[in-house]
Amino acid sequence: MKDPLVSLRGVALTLHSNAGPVEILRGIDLDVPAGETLGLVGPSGSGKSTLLMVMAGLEAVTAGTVEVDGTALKDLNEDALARFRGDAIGIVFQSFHLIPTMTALENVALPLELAGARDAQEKAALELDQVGLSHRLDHYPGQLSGGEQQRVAIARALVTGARLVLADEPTGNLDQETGTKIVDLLFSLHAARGMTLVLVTHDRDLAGRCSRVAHLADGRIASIASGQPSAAIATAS
Amino acid sequence: MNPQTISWTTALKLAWRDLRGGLGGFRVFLACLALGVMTIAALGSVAATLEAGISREGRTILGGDVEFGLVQRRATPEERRFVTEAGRMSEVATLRAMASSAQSSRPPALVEIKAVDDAYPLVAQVKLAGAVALEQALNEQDGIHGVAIDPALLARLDLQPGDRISLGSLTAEIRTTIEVEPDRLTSGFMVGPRVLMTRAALDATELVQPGSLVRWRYRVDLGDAASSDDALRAFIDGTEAELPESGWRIRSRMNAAPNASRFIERLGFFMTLAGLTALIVGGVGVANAVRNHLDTRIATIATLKCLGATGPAIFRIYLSQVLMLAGLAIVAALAAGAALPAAGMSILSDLVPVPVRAGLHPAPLAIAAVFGVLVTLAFTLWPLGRARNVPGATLFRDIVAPQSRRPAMRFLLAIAVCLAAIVALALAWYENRLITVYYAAGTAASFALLWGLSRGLMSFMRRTANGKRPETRLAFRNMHRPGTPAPSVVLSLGLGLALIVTLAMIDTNLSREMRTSLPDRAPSFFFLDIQPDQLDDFLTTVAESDNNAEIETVPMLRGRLTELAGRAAGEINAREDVRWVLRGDRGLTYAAELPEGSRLVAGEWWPHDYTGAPLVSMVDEIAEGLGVGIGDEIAVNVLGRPFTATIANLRAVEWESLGINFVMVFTPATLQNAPHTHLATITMEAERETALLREVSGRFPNITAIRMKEALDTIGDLLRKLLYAIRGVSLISLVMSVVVLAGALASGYRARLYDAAVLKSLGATRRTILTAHLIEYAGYGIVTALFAVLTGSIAAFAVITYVMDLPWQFSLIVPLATVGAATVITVIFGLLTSWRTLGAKPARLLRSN
Repeated sequence: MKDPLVSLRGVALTLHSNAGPVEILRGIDLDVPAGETLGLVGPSGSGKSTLLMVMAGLEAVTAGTVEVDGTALKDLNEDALARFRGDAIGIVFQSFHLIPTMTALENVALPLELAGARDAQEKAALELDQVGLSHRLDHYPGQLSGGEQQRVAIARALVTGARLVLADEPTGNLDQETGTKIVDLLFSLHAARGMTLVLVTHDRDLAGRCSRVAHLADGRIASIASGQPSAAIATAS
Repeated sequence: MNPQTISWTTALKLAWRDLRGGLGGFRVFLACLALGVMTIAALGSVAATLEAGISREGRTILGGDVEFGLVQRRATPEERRFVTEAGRMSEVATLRAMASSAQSSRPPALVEIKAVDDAYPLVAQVKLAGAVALEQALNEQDGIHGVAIDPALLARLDLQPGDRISLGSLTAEIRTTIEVEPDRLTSGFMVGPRVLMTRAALDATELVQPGSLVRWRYRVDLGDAASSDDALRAFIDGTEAELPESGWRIRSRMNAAPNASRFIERLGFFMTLAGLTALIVGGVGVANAVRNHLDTRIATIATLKCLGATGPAIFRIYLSQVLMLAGLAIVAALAAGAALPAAGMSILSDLVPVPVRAGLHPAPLAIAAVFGVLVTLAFTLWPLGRARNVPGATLFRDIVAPQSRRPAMRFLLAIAVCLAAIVALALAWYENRLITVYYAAGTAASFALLWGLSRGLMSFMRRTANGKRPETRLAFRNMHRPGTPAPSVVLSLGLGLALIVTLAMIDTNLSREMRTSLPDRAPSFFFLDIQPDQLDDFLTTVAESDNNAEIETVPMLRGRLTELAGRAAGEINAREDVRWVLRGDRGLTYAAELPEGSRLVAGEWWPHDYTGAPLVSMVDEIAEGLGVGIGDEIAVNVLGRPFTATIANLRAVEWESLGINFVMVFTPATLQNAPHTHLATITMEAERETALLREVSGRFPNITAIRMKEALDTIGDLLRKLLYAIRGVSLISLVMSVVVLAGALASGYRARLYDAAVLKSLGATRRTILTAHLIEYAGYGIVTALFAVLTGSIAAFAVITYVMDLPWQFSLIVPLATVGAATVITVIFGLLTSWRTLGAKPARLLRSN
């Protein structure tokens, strides 16, 4: 096994609400080697998205350690985490989360601009070309189809040269045909660039394309299937 | 790795992109800031325009480069020679007198005579009706002197040009009326209309007698010798060194109308405080608008966080956005504020007789802009500080660990610094520091109280209020639910209303005091300039007119304080409220006994037959303000002669009794041999007043009568006009409150739309929903108005009782009107929002949610 890009040890997360504490993650141990594609599956409320947030440094764990690309996230404060994300991590959301008042080009250039890059627009244009949207540079999200919006979101996640891409149900808001195209794009970019890809999905076919699939239930990893994702999903069901 | 934050250029670029969605959410922000800044800029520009007029036209207003003023005596030959040698000179005498006419059935009227020589005016021109030349209007023709008069006197005595008018022993012909008197402003506050005549005509009146209150002014046109201000200053210094004993008051074109300048500065100060209140009320709207805007940007902020934006970067982006919009509002407001005085030039000319000219005055505009920026920061740092804490995880699920309601401590400190800077700027810019401090404390206390009130209201509704009817229950719940407009409504409307209530209560109390209380205690007349040999006859005349008349007479002189405790009056740093004592001439008297209406508070009164070294009794609060006490020596210049006396005792005086009271009362031996006149107050039955006035005017033409009722009416009118002016500006606060209120209520539109849809789907009728909203809005209005009545009454009570020292009476009309107006305003604006929600179809709404 290659050196893990993501390493979780005994990760637990408890949130406190008015109704009392809620245990969302309970003792997760997981290594994701560099360049791997990992699918996270499980029923709603099992902790998939939370696990993704923990990997992105968006949620601080209550117990355990999280290391990404050799950096222990618990040693970073909120702003250092944001800078680390801008440098190393790209995120693709189910609802795309493009900024509605910015064009496709501006949306993709945004992480580079936040990082202070001088050639942000040029790099963003190249990235949009890679996802097949060179003709939509000046279009606003409202003027793009759902599939196009998700392609912009993928370009935005990859434009900084992220070593870890986290995708939260990237096809959840798309029809099957468009979803398939997006998945094809995501995996072809992975093949070309070799970044680590972790995605949360309910889609068996999508999970089936990952090299490993982790099944979560009740805040724990119930099983990890290697190369046999369909079987894992079947077991969980 | 990403930098700690982003450059301001990038922040501005991202902020600009974020605004592409339109400025709709910022309408209230822009309106509040622009209206507040415009008010301050406009008021500051008006004051600056007037002050610039006085400063620029100083020579015209003064009637020369320099003026030497004397009271009760003409210049000595030596003084006259000195003045004449300095340049072209003009002698002008002013005094008050009674004017009557055989052709009029009206009672005699108090007028202000101005007697001029041939050289008058040295600068500018007097404009008379019918383009009559001044000389032609005033000279003696066929043995009759001519006068030019204020048109108001024609109306008061019901006369026409060509009619005759009597002033003392003179009967003159009214040749024309005065249109422009260029040096009018130097006379200060005038109690009667102007009568312009020649020096020869003044002599013919025989009003100028020893001790008469005549002001002699010697204006000099210095020509090239005083072309620069420095040269003029050097000339004045030289004059003071050469004739130190003359006791004259020297004014130059550089401070031609100090009283008018002071008046403008004070009025400008109060107006600006009222404008600043409007801006601060608007601050609530600014805060609401930014909070609402940032609420709609939570997803964007979370996305930016996920893409690597740090908290400081988020703060910088949205701060840039707020400052960009604030800059837009401020620039527009400054343009409007600078243009308003120019637009209202004709009104300004009527208000203060100063030659005003349109011009840009950067200082008040800069002050307004800085106030605008500081208020923007003070009211937006809270929501901006919170926005930087929005977690990126927000994008993944609705409920994350609850976000702190308060921004980080450094933002709270920054807000405190901004608020302190507002107070510091007001303190640095305006002279009246004590009032500024009271104002700041009052505003802060009001804010704290209003905030507490809104929290209290919400808490009370949550804990106890539980109506029987569903509408009432709904209304009460709306008042404390998350996102309730209660705090915004109470804060915005409360402050504006409290200000209006304060001013209305002061006005009501003042009006009542002028109308009812004073005449019971106040004398009917003040008679001035009673010559010592006329006193007995005068008293007999009064007694014959009304047996029961109460008469009080005192000897009176005019004199100027020149030294206190060994220090020249000009060097004394007197307390602000007593500085007037050092300005110009004061009335002086002497008395063997402690005057009525006075109470000895320190030292001892001199024996009845005291003839020792000169002693003086001073009013305690004034001595304290001037920094002198018992045993200190003071010097007074009377008719060009210096007198010194030692302070023997201090008195407390009931000024409001309107009896005769003097700041300084000397031992009789000190002053009784100086030429003086007598002052008398007469308290009598109102219906006999006119008869006495005619009798005294007929028998003693040189005696001037001031009818208390008319004087009080004049002062009352002036006070009321001032109050109206301040109230006018305060109305802007109320307009601002309504803008903020409308914004606060409109921001809840979406939530109300959804609520209405759900309620309808559950069986609520439109009437039920409307009634619930009506109860809720009326509740806000009533609670806020009650607060405004309470705080406004306390503030007005403090001003009336402690500042004006008048009796206080609670007026029921003001609270009733306030409660009514506040309720109507909130209900109307609330229902404007609710009405639209009632028409929406629930099915469509619920599907889209």
